[in-house]
Amino acid sequence: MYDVVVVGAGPAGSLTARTLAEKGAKVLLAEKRPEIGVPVRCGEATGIAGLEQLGVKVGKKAVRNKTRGAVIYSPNKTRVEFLSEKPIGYVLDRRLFDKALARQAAEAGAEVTVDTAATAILRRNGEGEVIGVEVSRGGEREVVECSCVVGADGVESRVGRWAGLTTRSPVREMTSCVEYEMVGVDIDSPDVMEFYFGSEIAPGGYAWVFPKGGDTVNVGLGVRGGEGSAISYLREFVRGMEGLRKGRVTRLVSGGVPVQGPIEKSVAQGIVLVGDAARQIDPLTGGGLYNAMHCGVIAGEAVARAVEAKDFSEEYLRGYEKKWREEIGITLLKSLQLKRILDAMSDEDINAAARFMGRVDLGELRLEKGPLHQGMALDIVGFLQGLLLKN
Amino acid sequence: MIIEDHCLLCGACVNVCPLGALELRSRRLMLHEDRCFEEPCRRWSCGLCSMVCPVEAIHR
Ligand SMILES: Cc1cc2nc3c(=O)[nH]c(=O)nc-3n(C[C@H](O)[C@H](O)[C@H](O)COP(=O)(O)OP(=O)(O)OC[C@H]3O[C@@H](n4cnc5c(N)ncnc54)[C@H](O)[C@@H]3O)c2cc1C
Ligand code: SF4
Ligand code: SF4
Repeated sequence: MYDVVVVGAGPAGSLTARTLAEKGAKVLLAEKRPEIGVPVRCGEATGIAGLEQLGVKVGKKAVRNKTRGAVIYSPNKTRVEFLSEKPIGYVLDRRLFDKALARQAAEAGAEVTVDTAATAILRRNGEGEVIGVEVSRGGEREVVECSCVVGADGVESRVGRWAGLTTRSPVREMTSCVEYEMVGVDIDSPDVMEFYFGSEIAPGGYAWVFPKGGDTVNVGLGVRGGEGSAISYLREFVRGMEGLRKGRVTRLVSGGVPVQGPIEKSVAQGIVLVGDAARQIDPLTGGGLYNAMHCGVIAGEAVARAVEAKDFSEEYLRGYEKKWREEIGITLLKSLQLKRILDAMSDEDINAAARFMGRVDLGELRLEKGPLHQGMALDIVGFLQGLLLKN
Repeated sequence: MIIEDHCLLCGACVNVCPLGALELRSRRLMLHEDRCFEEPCRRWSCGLCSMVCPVEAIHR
């Protein structure tokens, strides 16, 4: 009998489980894959400040590279720099990173199990309070008793669907992403991330090149709409880049980033959703790691209070919902705004905005304050709004 | 797995599939398995198609 079963051992689930265990709750962290962190479905970039703020220790091996910020290229290749003197970001090895987070949860006292997929939520008399989770562990059906279930099961969240909190995503709000890990490439700067915009490069999204140290990069893109599949755009992009063209692909990643903003309701009786499952991912940048971990901590704290109070009513769990909206709600809203603006901008408009932004000294302070994606998004929003007001 | 009886041939999954593994051809939805399943483990693909399907006609 557990107090809480956390479904999914990604960053959101591991931080939730760790926080719960630290507060004395009896927790099971259940992951459906046989190996935590594999396969990777991520560009693996995140800000250093965010990790420090959350007290997440990252071992040397899980950091592939440090970055000093980003350069954005408009469709006509106008450069806009968001650079700092010092390293402000990591490119992680998410296989090792996700495992390390799960290990931290285990060390705090959570029980961790792999090859264990949640298949249903059990409620008293079918509709009352949560009494357990049905799982398939190594192919065998089992019932795990608990009083609360945390759905940290990513974009595809089944827990959210079972609880009636998430529904199918409209196609126009789902960015379709592919990424290659490539070796043997030439890059301009070994410590700068690159972003490329343009309707011919990545309609409705952007392309990225993240340096992973040495001659290795993650190069990927996300599209919404457009003429062909994401992979056809990626092939075209790589062909068009001198330094990448001669590289070899060592990994293919595909996945989706929901961009309609956070779900309307993230709690129900005995149920809490966190991370991509709650669409806490930034709808502009597609950065989701920091928010997933941040909200994991908030969820862990809130559910631990519920365990203590023995109250898992929706009412009580709403404390979690309130708190995470206070902490990241504004940023998500800003990003959503900018995403709308960007959607409405033509290639010409983006070129003009880039020209304008290139003339302004952005200052590095903003960047260093917040998590990388957040800082950048807020800066861009601010400047675009300024631009729109000016015109 | 495609449940043909349920499929509306709406094309939502075709549009969203990052790997171009789905195709509507002569009023049938076809899955090119060789494109969908990720190497090296071939056991998971991204599942975007099933996330956007309005009638749960496609599962992984
Ligand atoms: C191509 C791509 C590139 C990205 N690049 C970046 C980036 O550079 N930086 C960044 O910050 N973010 C990036 N993101 C987003 C980031 O990967 C996610 O926001 C982040 O992984 C969310 O963490 P999570 O814990 O919520 O979910 P996940 O990491 O998806 O973890 C969910 C876990 O739940 C498990 N699970 C699912 N169902 C069940 C079940 N029924 N039972 C048990 N376990 C289950 C899954 O196996 C998985 O391990 C990218 C996303 C994509 C698709
Ligand atoms: S699982 Fe992903 S790659 Fe495979 S058909 Fe569906 S959308 Fe395409
Ligand atoms: S989204 Fe569903 S209904 Fe539409 S074509 Fe694909 S499988 Fe058929």
